[in-house]
Amino acid sequence: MTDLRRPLTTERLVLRPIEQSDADAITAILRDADVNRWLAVVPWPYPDGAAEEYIANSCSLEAEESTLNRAITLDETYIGCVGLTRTPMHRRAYLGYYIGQRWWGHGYVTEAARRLVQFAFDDLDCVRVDSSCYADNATSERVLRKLGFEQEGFRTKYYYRMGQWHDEKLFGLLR
Amino acid sequence: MTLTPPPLERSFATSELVLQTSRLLLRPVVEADAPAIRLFSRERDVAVWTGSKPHPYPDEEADAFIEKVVTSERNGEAICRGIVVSSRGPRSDVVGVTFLKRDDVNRNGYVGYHLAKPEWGQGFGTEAAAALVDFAFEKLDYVRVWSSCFADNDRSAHVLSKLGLAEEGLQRRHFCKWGEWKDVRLFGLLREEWNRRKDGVES
Repeated sequence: MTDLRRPLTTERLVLRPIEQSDADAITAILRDADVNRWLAVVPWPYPDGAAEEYIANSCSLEAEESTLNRAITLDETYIGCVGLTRTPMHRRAYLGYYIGQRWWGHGYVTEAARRLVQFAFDDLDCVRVDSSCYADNATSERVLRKLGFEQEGFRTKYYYRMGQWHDEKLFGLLR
Repeated sequence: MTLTPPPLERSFATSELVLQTSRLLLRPVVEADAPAIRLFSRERDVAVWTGSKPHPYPDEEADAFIEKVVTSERNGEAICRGIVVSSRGPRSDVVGVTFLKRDDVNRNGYVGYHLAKPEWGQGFGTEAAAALVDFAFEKLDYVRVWSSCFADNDRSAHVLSKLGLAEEGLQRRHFCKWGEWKDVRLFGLLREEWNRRKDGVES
């Protein structure tokens, strides 16, 4: 058995499970509206204690191997997160990610997500990986397309967040 | 800027809800429906198009199904109605079920249905599901209703198009049904489209 918790390395990054000591870094990134606005289930405004609660929840999901969130670290600094939420019955997982604004534009998300997708197919034995983004999130869409995802759907007014409805683009990547 | 959706005018407890359509009575599913549900769920041609029905269908599966829908109704997660053909009397057996999975936060509902095989071909599925679609827009003030079916389920795709839902996606190998990976077709209907359909029908 491979250890699912082992750190995954890429050319520039190390992906490791989230820890309680990441709370301040997570809070700082998710209090940036330019990051938070593209996420679906993260609270806004981002309150005190939310990161600690999220990490505790993430650790218990990790223990049951249902959601695997990985800190994206650059020289041991937390710069963002990439995660897989599994549906083992259908051998698929949903890919999500974000990265702090000061690290935008360097291809870090693509690099981290590519490694995690490989992990989904090699270590989790998935037949497909799902993802989605708000229809106007061109940056996220570009990441998915670089990884080979194909658009599989478009849902008008699928999410209500920050005072308005958002359309969602659905993507999928087959093994 | 408001940060949460405008609240529903009132929260709907739907446990007692009964809907009447021209030919059908849609009423809550109860424990006593187990034999009728077991009877049509055992039919392979019914189970094969559902997400969760096993085949062969174990006896206790119907009781578990009823318990699940009653609980999710009580929690406000779904509305599930047994379909009764009015002309056979209000106490006649359910011939199928239709349901609406609620997402009150995003004001989105997922509609689904299945029907005993001898009842196919009369538009009962469409008529029953349409009542829940109307309920979602009229009473829950939803902005959209969506659904899905296996890509090779032409019958269900036809029902959804009769309900006015338009195709909005195809998820490849998204669902493992009895060991086989199936493509899933997605459908959706927006409130404004539903309004236009209603206007068209009534004018």
